Amino acid sequence: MKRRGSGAHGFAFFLFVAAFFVLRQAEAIEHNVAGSAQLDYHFVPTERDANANAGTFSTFDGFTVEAAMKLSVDVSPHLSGNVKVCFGCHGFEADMFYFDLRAVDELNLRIGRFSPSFGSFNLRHDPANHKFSDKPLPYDMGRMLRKNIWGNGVLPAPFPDNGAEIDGTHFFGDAAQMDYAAYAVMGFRNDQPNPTDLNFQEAHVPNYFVDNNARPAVGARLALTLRASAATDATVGVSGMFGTYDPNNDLTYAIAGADLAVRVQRTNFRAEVLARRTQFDTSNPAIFKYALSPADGDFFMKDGAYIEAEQPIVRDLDFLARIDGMLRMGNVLATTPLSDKSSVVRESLGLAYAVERNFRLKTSGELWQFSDRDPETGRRLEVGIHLGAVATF
Amino acid sequence: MSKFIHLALALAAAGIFFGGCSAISPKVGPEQDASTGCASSSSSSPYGGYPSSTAAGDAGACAPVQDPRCAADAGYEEGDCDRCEDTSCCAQRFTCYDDPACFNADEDLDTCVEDAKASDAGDEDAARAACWSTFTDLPGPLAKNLRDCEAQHCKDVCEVP
Repeated sequence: MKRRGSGAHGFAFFLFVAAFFVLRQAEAIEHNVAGSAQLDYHFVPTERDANANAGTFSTFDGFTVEAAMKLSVDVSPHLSGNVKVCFGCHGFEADMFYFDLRAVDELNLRIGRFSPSFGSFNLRHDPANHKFSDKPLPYDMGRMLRKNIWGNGVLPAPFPDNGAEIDGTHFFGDAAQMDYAAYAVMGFRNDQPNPTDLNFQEAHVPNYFVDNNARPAVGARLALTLRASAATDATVGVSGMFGTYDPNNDLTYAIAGADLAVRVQRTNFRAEVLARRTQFDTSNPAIFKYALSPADGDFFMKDGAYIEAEQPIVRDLDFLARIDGMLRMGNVLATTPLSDKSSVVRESLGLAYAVERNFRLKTSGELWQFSDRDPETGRRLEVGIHLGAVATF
Repeated sequence: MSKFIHLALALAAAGIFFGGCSAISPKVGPEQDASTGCASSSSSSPYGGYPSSTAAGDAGACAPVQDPRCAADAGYEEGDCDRCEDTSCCAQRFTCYDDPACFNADEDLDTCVEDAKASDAGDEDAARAACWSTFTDLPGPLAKNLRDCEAQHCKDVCEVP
């Protein structure tokens, strides 16, 4: 039994509501309130009794809700604030609570709680902003099959954190723009006795929202957008992040990513690749499935990628296609079915239908190909079906 | 098709960024028996040629391994329950702690039990039993194994209902 203080359920939501009502009295301040909610049903017929949640991997099948409310306030021409409270599998949480102090387009200081700039999906992580029901595997946060043995994605999104970021945009006329960001945040953590991976669940209640090692993680992003017309453009970007995640600052993680997005009228094509190098504690070799290699044996690689396309069929109906996957290389715990080289690939086809401007139905089917067999069913192939609806205001 | 995607993933994620250097090419030794820390005779790993390590570092000894975190001076004992767990449920305790889901469920259990003790709402025993029930509802055997071991060996000091 360990000792740990209690969490702060609902505190962020209370602050959000309080701020909202206080700001309603300030007539001179511009503010905007927006919200979204997605209900999704995930059916996995290939699992035993069609119940993926009953196995050893604790998949979240059945109904899930992802909802969020956002308040944006322009305090002055140079100062703005954003608060976003979301509700998902972990209950209410503060996804954003930050201030922007903008000198010019090229120089903005962001402080508070926010998702640091990494990759292109980060900007679309709200379910109202992507047309599939779930996220690409490299950014998966709890919706993938066999999530516990895989430890979610490479970089589960969103990844709100406390810290500061300097960012900006330089416009080259109407033809191009360059975006940059550099930040220092608390970083990921793992307080387990012998850390062997990032523990994303420690970023949620009932844990404290504080750093566990007093050393910030740092990162940066650079992106270039070229525009051929108002509705045709292409963006390419690179991102990186580095930090330590254990209380003693001994174990490092480094994440690198590259992304490409092309938009031609209403057709969208996106591709992104992420790679994470994570050191693990080797003080107890007996907990690993493989003997520790004397050289390059104290870390693993977790890589992920996706490509996806959105093509309108008629005015309100979009066809969606996506291939995504992950590859994990390196030692694993003796208790996991994974091997020293495990992979998962998912192929998805879907439709998104706009019933009206702010209400969309989503459906998709997905084929999963795992390199390792499910120890209970012996299966390597799984099938999933999503049916969802999302609304915004 | 699947092999192509696997290859593309590996090349894209590793080769493009880092050029395939050893800094992103982890290596492992032969597969070892989880209960002894010894190399398995059926291992098919290509990295043969050196003995597996045991917790004590005496490569090749291959005696059953006791997790060193269960030693009295290892720093993982804060009370009678911890001491009993280390003495009687060492493997179950740290197998749970090494699994993120079980570790977090154990932390939730601690918080839940503390709240049950501090609450003035009524039946503490029922509230504590509900905490343990939630803990053992965790999919998989890890939480149940730890609970069963504590119930058998540490029932009083760990207040297992």
